[in-house]
Amino acid sequence: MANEQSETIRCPMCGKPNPAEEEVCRHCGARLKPLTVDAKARPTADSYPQAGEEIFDLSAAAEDPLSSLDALLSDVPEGEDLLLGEIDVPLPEEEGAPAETDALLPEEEAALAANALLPEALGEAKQTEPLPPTEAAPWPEGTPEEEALAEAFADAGAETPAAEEAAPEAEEALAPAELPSWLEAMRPVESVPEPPEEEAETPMETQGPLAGLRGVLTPLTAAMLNPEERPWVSGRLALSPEHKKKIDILEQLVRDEFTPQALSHPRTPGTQRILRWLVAAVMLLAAFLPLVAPAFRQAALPGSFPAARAAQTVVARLPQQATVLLAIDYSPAFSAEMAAAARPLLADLQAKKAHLVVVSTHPLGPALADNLLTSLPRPYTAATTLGYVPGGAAGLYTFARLPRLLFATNAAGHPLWTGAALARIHTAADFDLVVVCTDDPEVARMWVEQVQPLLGQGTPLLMVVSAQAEPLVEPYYETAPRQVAGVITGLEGGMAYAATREMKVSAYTWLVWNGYSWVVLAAVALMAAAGLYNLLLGWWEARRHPRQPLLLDDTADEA
Amino acid sequence: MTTLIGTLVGFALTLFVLSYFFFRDWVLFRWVMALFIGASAGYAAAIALREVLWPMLLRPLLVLRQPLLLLPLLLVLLMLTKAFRGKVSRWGNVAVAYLVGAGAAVAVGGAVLGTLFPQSAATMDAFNFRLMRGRGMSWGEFVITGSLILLGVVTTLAYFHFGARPQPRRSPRRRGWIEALARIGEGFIAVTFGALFAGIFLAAAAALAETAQSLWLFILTLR
Repeated sequence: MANEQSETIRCPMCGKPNPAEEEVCRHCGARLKPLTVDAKARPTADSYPQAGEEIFDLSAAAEDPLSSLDALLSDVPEGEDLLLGEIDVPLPEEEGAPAETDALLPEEEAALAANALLPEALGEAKQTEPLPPTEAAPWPEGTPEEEALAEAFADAGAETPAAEEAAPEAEEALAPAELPSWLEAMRPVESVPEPPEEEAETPMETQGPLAGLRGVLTPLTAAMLNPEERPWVSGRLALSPEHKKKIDILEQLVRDEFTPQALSHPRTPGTQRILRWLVAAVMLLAAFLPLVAPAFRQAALPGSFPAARAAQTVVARLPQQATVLLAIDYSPAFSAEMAAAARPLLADLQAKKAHLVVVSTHPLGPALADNLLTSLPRPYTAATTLGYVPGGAAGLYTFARLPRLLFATNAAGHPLWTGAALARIHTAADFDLVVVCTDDPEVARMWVEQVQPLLGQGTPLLMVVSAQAEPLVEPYYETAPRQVAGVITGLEGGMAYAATREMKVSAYTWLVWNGYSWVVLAAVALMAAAGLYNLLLGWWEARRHPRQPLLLDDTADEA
Repeated sequence: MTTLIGTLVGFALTLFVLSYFFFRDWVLFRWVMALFIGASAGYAAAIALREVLWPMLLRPLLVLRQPLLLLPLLLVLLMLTKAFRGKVSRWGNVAVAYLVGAGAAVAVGGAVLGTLFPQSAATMDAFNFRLMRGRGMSWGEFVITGSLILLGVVTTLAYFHFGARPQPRRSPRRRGWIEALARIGEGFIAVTFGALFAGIFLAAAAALAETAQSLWLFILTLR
């Protein structure tokens, strides 16, 4: 088996085995042994210019393209087209076909034709420098035409120095080229039918993938290469009004990107404006009503507030001259509400002669604390203002653990932690009570999370909060054990605390409480009226326009 | 005299703020807002310099010669590079990273130990009858309170369940029982937001009543 395989060769085209001595495949006719041609022995067809071929020195053209073109054009007779890239190469004919020996010019005629078209410089270059032979170029032999070609090249062998020496060996090594039948069928030249006479005048491509096709490439005429005779083409675009309109839109879009646009204020309908003024008038009237009419100063005290009562209980258990940490952490906009809520508690602490240590995580807090403490019926003098605690949650955590590190001295450099009330304070847990006044639920949560766990059981945490923060602070009061021992909520919580303690409130606070009660009552009345109106409107609209189910596509809509 | 001028200025500024009711965002209202914001920012800057930078950083460093404070000073200088444009501002990232990292560590620890665990325990305590009875709650109150808390927690969580199934020709919908729970949870959420809005309105009502009182007293002093 192995011997059989060694004596046969497999066709590279059809894959079938053939005897080793065969030159061509028995099955498909493909060549089995490569043709070996000594390139020096014989010139190739590509080595010489053929009829109609133009030789153009690319190196010279690259150096000076215009002069090269001008030189080329100067040799072209006036009125004739210059054919570039068109090379008439005689193709091997099938057996029996007449040989077109006319396509091969004698030596003199070929040289004359080539020199007639070549520029002088190029012609000299061609004569002095023979073109290099092309390697591995197959050259068919055997047919009469091929013999004629061989003779022609043999006559021109003076330009190929090694041709004579290598010729005998090359002729022996060369085998007649036979194209396989399937490859012959692919050649377009023979398969193209004879063109009509008018088409025969158009040039036919003889090389490359377009070989055999006519009129594919437009011949380059001398007029095309002459700049003076070239048709003039305008560089300006011919724009229609439609194009101009689109360009204007595009330019406007680009301009608008860099032009600041004024904010548009949507116009409020007149009815809404009147309604807004009406609401404002009702609110202002309710706020001023108890001030101008004593008959309307009869607001009832708020009911029992468990969280406020718990706060009061914590304060009642405080020892005399206790040290209380007071945090003023509300913004100035809420100072009225927060002051009204905190005053009863501060009055209670004042009665117990508690010493206040004031801090704030709000930069404006110390100033608000001074304002609050001096606005009491008797200014609160037993107070030390430490000042602003920077750093948010981290700063608060540091203060709770190491207050003396954060506030070593005051701004003037004097020591802070002197005196009977402050000498025993080393951490936040050393205070008897911590009171936080804030309008921000986030700040309240920060105090609960960062400070309350460090306080321990001996130091309760009380919150005086705005009404807007109460829903988020209340859960900390509901835990067991309570994280916040008591909550005083807004103006109402402050009044509830005062009512629990049966404290006398000032006339100012009493008037504010009456105005507040009337404003809340007016707001409730307005909201109820607006809700009823919207309810009736919705019911009326529902009757007029029954609701349609939501459908996503057209087919369901049609269904 | 000084008090009178101060009261007059306060009266005028208050009227300008209240003019928003009628003229919305007009020039005097905007001028008052700019004045308030500018004054607050200036005061805060002065406080930061007087109560933070000097007593906590510069004085200990320059007077008490505490070299450890060079590190905070370096962080302050690095943070200042954030005010510049270009590559210089990258140096401020070091200070920002330190602040964010330390702040996040403190905040997360506090949130877990101060809010998450205690609030979860408080929700479960609502079903501890012995504890609730210790707070003076009757059996009926305990049942109602516990049921409301249970229903509120479950239905609110169901409202934020967004798993839905595609349906032919209709928008995707949740399962029927989750949809029913979510509707109830929607009601609880609405009540919560209503309570928050009511709190905001009550705070504004207190401010309005106090402002009206101040204006009225000023008018009375003019007579």
